[in-house]
Amino acid sequence: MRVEKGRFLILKEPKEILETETLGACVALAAVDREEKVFGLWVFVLPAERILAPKVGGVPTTFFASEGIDEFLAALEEAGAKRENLSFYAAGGARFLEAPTVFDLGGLNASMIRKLLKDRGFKLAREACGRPFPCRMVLNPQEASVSVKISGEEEEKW
Amino acid sequence: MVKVLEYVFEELNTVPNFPETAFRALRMLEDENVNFQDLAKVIRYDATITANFLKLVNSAYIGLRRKVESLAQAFALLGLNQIRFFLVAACAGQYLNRALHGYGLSPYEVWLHSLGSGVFAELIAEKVKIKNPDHVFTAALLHDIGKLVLDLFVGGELEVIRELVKDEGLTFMEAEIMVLGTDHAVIGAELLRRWGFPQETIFAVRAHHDEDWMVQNQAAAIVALSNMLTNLLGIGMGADGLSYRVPPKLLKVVGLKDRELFSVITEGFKRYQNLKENLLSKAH
Repeated sequence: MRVEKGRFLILKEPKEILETETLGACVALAAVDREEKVFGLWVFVLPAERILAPKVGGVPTTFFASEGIDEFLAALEEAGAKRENLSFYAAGGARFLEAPTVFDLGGLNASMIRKLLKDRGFKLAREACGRPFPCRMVLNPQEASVSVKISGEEEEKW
Repeated sequence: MVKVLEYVFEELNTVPNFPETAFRALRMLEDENVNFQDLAKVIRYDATITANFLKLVNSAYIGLRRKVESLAQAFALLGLNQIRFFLVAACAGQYLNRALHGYGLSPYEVWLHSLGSGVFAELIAEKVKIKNPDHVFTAALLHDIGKLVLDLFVGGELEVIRELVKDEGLTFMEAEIMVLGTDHAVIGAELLRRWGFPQETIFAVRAHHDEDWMVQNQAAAIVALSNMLTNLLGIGMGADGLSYRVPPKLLKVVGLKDRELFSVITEGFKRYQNLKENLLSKAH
């Protein structure tokens, strides 16, 4: 099942594989509770809604890391996940070789998700953020594994 | 390298011409008082362009209440800039519909990247109120057309190109030039020159990865920015990804303030997603 940008998908004991599209500077956050068999995959696009000037209407809160994080965590718990069991994995956040700060969306997104998780007592178990190349994340519930495929590199399986 | 270049230029000769129908229609659209009946007569002789044009219009983000079934109906609803945009997009689809294995892209991704860049170019052109946006739309939709020609050669040398990016800090374009003697922007511009596109369009395509050239004029800067934003969102992001440098004055030349960039990304993504979802639902 494909998880669109700005959306998340949470499943309990799913048979289907969850995967992202090519991420660019967007960040994919996978959450896995291996004991309760709850799996979540979220792709956010921007770090926070407050950086929009002017505001843009009709955008889901899960488009933004800051506004979507609690919704994602609540949905995981609603599906049966326990906070103490959850492991988090991040990928994407691509960055230009050189760019003015405003173009470093990948860097901003990756920093934001680390901070948001830390503020809530979590941390990333593994991450693959910041490379300039195309990247996708795949969550395989059968194996309880998270894979990251960065173009031109060996697939990483966590 | 000279031999590779010879092969690249041989490959260039095999790309079919841009449809004459589209050129005639684009010339007619230079007149603000164009007669839409005459315009429809010109376009309808090319069944593929007509079909693609109507499909795109019906899929677009402009919120039409009922299905548009004829060119006349479409022209009555659209502004001149939108007609130009959909006309070039309808033609681009004929070229940008095959896999680019060298760049790691499926036909679907190639097409989405072109459309995504076109959508961003249209949005930015609106925001900064550019005077002649038609060059911008055309260049944004066709900016990667050179990849069609270079794909085979990049595929053979991708590892070397990627190592140059990783180890030497070169941009993907600099590495393409070092290995192949040319890059996809130069080849794309040459293709557009052979097809007879205006100089402004050719320049914008040529400049879309060149940090010095892209800030030479507003149209080129908008095309380069549109491509960057499409890649930032991962839309049809090829093997080159973000292996490029962004010049500090790009946004200033475009006419946008730093703080406006994130709203442009959000608004552009909304428009693109709407267009993509409608195109997908019509394909199934």
